[in-house]
Amino acid sequence: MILPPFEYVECTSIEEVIDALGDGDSDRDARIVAGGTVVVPMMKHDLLRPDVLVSLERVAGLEGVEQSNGEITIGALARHREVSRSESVREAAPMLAQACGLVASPVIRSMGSLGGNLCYGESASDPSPVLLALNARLHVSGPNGTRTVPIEDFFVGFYETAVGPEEVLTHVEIPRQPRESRWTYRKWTPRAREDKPLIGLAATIRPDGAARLAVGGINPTPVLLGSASVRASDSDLSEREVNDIADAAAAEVDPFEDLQGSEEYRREMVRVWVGRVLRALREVEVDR
Amino acid sequence: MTETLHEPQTESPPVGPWIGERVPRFEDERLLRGRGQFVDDFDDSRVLHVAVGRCPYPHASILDIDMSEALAVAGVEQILAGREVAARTQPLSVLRPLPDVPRLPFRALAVDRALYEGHPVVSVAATSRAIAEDALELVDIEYEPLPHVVDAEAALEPTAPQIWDELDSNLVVHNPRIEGDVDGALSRADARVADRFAIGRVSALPMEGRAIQAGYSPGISTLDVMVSTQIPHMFRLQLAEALEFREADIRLRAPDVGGGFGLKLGMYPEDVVVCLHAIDLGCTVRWIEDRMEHFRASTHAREAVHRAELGMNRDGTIQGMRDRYIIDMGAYNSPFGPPMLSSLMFPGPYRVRDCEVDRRVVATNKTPVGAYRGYGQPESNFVREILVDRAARSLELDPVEVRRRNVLRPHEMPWTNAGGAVYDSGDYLRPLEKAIEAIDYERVRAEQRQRDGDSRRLGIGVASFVEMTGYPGSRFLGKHGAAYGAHESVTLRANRSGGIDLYTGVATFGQATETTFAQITASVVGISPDAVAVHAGDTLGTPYNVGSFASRTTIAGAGAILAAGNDLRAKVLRIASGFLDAPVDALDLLDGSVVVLGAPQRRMALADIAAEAISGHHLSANEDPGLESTRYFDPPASAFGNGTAAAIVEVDVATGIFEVLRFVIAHDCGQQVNPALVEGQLHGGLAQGFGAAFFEGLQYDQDTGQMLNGTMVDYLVPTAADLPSFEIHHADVPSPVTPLRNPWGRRGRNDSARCRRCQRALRCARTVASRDQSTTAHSGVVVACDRRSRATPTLGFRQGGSDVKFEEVFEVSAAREKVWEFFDLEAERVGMCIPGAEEIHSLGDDKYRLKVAQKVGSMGATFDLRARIRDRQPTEMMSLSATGRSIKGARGDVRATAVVSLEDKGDGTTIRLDADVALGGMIGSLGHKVIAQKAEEITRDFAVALGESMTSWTAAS
Amino acid sequence: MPRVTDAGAQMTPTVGIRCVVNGKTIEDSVEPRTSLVDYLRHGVGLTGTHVGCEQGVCGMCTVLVDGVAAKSCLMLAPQADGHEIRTIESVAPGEELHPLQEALRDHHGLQCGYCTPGFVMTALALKDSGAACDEATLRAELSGNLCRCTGYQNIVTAVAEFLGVEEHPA
Repeated sequence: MILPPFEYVECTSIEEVIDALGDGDSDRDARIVAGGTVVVPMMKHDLLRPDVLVSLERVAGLEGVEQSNGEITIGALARHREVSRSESVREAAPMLAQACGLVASPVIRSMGSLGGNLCYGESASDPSPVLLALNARLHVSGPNGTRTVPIEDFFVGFYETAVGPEEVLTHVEIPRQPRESRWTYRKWTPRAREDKPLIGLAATIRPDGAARLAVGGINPTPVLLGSASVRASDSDLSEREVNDIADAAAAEVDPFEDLQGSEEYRREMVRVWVGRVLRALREVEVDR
Repeated sequence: MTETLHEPQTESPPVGPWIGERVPRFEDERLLRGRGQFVDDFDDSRVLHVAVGRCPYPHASILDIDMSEALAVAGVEQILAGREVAARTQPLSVLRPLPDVPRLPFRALAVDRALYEGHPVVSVAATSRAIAEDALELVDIEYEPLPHVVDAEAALEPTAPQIWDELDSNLVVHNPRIEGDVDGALSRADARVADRFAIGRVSALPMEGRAIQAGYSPGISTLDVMVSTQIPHMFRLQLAEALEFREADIRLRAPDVGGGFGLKLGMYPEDVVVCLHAIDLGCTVRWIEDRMEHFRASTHAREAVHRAELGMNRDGTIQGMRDRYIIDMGAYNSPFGPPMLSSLMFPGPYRVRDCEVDRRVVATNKTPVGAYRGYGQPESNFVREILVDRAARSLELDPVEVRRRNVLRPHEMPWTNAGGAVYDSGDYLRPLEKAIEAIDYERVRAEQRQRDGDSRRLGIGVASFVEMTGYPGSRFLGKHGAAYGAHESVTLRANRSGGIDLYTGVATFGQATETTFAQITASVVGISPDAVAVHAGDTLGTPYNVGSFASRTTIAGAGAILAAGNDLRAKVLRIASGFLDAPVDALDLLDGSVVVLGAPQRRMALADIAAEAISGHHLSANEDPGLESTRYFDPPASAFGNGTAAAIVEVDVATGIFEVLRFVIAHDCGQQVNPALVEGQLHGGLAQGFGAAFFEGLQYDQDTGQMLNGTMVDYLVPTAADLPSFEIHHADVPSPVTPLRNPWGRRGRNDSARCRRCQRALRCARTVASRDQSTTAHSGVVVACDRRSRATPTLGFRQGGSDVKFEEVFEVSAAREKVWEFFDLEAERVGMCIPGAEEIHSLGDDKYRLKVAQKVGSMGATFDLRARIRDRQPTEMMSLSATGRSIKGARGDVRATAVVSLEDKGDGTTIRLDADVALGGMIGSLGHKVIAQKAEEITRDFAVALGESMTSWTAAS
Repeated sequence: MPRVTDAGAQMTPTVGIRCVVNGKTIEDSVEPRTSLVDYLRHGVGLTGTHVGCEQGVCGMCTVLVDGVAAKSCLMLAPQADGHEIRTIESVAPGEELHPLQEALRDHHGLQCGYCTPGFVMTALALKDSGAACDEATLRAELSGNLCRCTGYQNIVTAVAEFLGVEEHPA
């Protein structure tokens, strides 16, 4: 499976990247490559045959995790492994640390970047539903300047994101999460360990009861479960309420089907896992 | 047919201490350092590389191949296609044919018609693999897809497309066999259980794919071949026949081989083609199979549908059994496929006299099926053990107790089973008892009963097996049409360094022949194993050998080593006797020296004896120089390994998530030569069984006929994190039919046993969510059945597809005759209405060529299509078809048919478009819903564009 | 090896790289589409690292890049520029085997040997990173390396011994 020929462009700044993406005629397909753990397999699988690969590896300013007043900024080039081990992330957004620690397999985690995972828009992504639950904001730079995309607007369609063909995701911002929020990320693969999630369910419940549940691997894009995000008082959800929410979530999704599971099976797994997640959160002792 | 047991051979048993020792492997030194030499590791600085173009459709006519553009690429040396290759070669031979199977010619490159996705069609030899692949892209092949069938049962329907002209239908052969009175026995049974078992298609998936390198110098006439294979000598024979070469002019060797498992048994189409390139170009040519090819081009395994039935009496004894099964062969008979032994071994370790096995082998448009660990035994073990459990359950008997009642006892041996196999010896009860004891059966049953009704329940699975290894002699194989004998051979040659060089044609690919053969030689001759150098896998300089499969190499090889070693020993003692001036029976050969018994200071080192033998200076007059022996050994009978596996599994009934808490196997392989190696083989086989039970299964889309999960991302084998630790217990009983008998009687290590044992025990043990099913009080053992899934083993899987049928109906104000005119005369304009159409031109004769670009998400593709108007009924209907592939962006193939029908609607016309579009290749497997949505979009846009175009045309004319 | 072509195959510029492989500095010019594993095997001549899937799943191609385990089939050769790469050949340069290799040999942790270099490099990286602390974690850390021959049990035993990780009794 030799890759088809392409031009390789190394950039050292975001401006250079944007230039390289926009260079040449519209027929020319230019793609970004970072760690390569998404792009290279897609090219090996013949899903992409770009004419140009623009490398982000040497671009300044895209790495690292920064924390300021509980708000976290993660560079698009930060590796999953780095994110999962970052003290700042573990403290301020532990759910993301957990999800990034579950991506694929250990070596892929140290090669692959968070940005790369997000930008190909795959539904079965571990960080994506977590970022939806955390209400993240994504920063994108392009020929017309920079803009901020709320996470809810980021996943546009099947393998499609809001990042334009001449744009690049630069960093991900996670707003301050209220202390004493309860959270969990559950990933389930019905088969072997290296599988993509059949369902990746992220949930947070704030002290004021507001909840955000998001799921990846079910719909053609990662989605917020709007109707299932519930107002819950500080007291426990009753079993009846949990079941109602789970049923509503199952009714709300529009699952695709593939080798991992049929439409009905995905729907049923949403029902089962939303229920379990809510029950688990009900038991959680909040850290002070 | 009953086989008689031959007299055991009369060679003296080995004397040394190395049998049964955990000698560290000699292979490890180089393999650990990364200094192994696999085919692609050899220097390739003067080597040409081959890339093979394959049919993307399950069944297609090959109408035209245009290589001109590809040949113009610098670095391309030669391109071969089917007709030329067929004119110069013979079809691939079958080494182990099924009885009564007609010859179905398998050509190295498809001629006129390709029969499976992956079927080789063209081959490019170039200065690099990259250039060869680039050139392949430029080879323009016109395919006409044909109706296909990718399901064996569907292939037997009278309406199924017929694949072979040589056959009356897709039924390749029917081998029924009945022993005893099966109907009578079953009718008398107190309980009868029956079911249909669909066994999935798997790939052996060795970590090194296939690989071959061939070199040829004109005038020198020797074809020098290096190939990743399990059977060097037989491969050489096949190659000679295919190329019409003298076998003596081919040298073939297997270097280090990265796993085989039955997949590398014999010659494949690519092997022939690579040799042709080498011969034509007079140089060295190499082909390395990549993983995407591997899934489509290397043999698959196991797929079968069994309808089986078993009867049991109230006392637990089996009262008759039958298995009527269909094997999905794929499109061709591979050298060792389809597997042979499901019929023979169906009765297993049980006392069964009334048994029917009825095998039908069916051709389908899929990759040919070959051998894979167990060669059909895992499949029938699986079916039998589940039926035994069910029958037990229906009579409220304990499944272990039932097995106790039915397993054969030592005093019943030898036993001829209902399939005709002769079990030589064995104590089948011992492993059963060991396994049960190891899992603390009674206690676990009690715990299981306690947890019945919990959300996490326990399942306990037990399965007993017996496995045939090796063959009962070459004459037997001759009668059954095999191309090979049952023997093995070795040459032992003493060297002047005090050691022995052992030459064997056996290839090693993990089973450590280099080490086991050294251990046996050392024991027979009386030296240390590290004084034995094993030279394996090269037809140059090794005696004819059969190969490594059926767990036969160590048994047959041991016999040859015993004979040759004894020859050597005898000569050593004779020569030493002269020099030490002592009679032969006063001498012994130990630790590399001959010593006089009782006077150990009188000794002579083996190195010196060898030196004398080789120089011949002082040998007695009637002693020939030289110190070596070549011997062949033909096993008189098959040896039968056996055992019992037991598993304890915990299952989450709501989701089906399970965890294997314990897995135990108690195993009898007779005398173990190297226990570490035996255990290693068991682990590996169990892992493959685990994989086949839960993770592995090649899926095909029924509508498009395309393979859906032929990548490592979609076809998953177990990782270290998925497997439990396997607990192994030994219950070894020496076999009288193997050379290292009493106390070194040895059986083959069991491939199938472990595979399917694991599978069967695990499946039986897994209790899976299904509120529709009840569990019985006793066992709580429910065979895995997710009510949502249609295809086991993967949970919840349903075959999606990328075959989209759609229709669009719309109206235009123009009259029907006018509309017809538009379609008839303005075909190119119509073509340009297709959303994404970039260009179209007419090729004459109702044929057109067009380019269409489309996108799904961020993945786009531009398709190069050939369309043809097939049928016209003026003013009423027009039908067309198109095929093509993507030339930019995501790779894939398209075939489409469409019918346009016209009907009056008032003054205007209703236009109805019915289309069927099948998308193959990677994009095709992305997800039916998404593709369907896209197709809907495209059809709608097409209708709109058509309407507009027609309106402006009507207005203009 | 780029070629000038008349038809079809495109010409793309090669990229210069400078990296250190097994302690030796290498300067070269590579076609960007060449994967790092292919470059190491056929460009540099270090064939101990193997190719199994080219999709980043099987781990045959595992090498150390700046001390961290990486799947070299997913890396493009240009991405090696400026980095330090270690392959299996660097592990036991002399007569003696590395303790990890000895453990694998002693516990019969290899059969055909094709996956072995990948496991060795992964385990060496684990030693440095200190990631695994018990058998379950160790198995998870090794889940990116496939083996079809051994069923993993002996590999886990050997690596556990090398890392000082306690194994569950079999």
